[in-house]
Amino acid sequence: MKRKIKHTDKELAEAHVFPSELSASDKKQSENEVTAFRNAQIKKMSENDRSYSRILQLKYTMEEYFKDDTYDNIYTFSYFLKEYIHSINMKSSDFSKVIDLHSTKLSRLLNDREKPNDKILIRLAVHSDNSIPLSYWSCVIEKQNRLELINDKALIKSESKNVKSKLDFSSVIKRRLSI
Amino acid sequence: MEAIIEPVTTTDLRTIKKSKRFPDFNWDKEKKNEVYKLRLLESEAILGLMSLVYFENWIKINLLQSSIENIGEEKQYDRIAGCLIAYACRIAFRKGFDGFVALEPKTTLAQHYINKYNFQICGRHINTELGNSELLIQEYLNDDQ
Repeated sequence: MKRKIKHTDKELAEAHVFPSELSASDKKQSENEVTAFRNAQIKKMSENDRSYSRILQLKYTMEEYFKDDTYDNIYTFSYFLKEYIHSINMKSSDFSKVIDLHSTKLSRLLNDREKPNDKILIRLAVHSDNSIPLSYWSCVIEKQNRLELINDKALIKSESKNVKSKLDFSSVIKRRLSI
Repeated sequence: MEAIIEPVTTTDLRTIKKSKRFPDFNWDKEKKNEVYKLRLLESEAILGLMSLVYFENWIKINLLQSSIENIGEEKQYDRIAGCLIAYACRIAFRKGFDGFVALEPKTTLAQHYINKYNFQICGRHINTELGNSELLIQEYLNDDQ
């Protein structure tokens, strides 16, 4: 019987985090100690620590978005770029100098009037010390492009006119439905 | 193997209870917390469970358990607990908690968590944050692993 197997401490720890064995009051006190420790840690954080944390927060927001099947108009490249510049506590004008990009170009990117090329994506990844990898910026752009294409009704309508004849599966669908 | 971590459903909790693959703990009681399950992408079978409690600016792993066939020498899959702990770290970054995750270890097991996950002692709890939490995410949740 599997249940009778006696596991070593190492094996148990590798498969569990056991619930608290403390009394309710001791447990609360112990958790209060963690909160106090945490608050002290926050006060001690350097500006570099804070930037790092904000960048990772942004990174995982990006990841959650591009891995999800749903689309959201808010999460454009420009949104994440604005958040990135905000997370490092920099003015746009200073940031444009740091990544050697003309301020007008940066402004166009930030206002969704232009899409970044690969060189810009690389510079962003390098600037973050790869904390936000190149692939993340690239996935955000890809998803934005997909959304724009899906929503481009005028293009879909005009291009549909160029298809002289199309396959017709309506009878197959009807047959499946009638089964 | 590709795995996924997602919130448990009420149906899952019923299955967990019936299956007897997560003995000794009443996961129904964890309903008041946020409970996540780890499963393989191609299967509905749950391999691990984790219950999280949220504080003002940190997260506590209240309970974590691998399924019975994944404990000990003959376990089918390794790294289940590590993946779930790393997932908690990821949530702690998303929430703006600087990746701060703590747990209250059994005294006899504390050193194991410290050695394996580089947790640090924080009173009767142990915790991970910032760089170490990101390392755990890279180690356990990176798609290349």
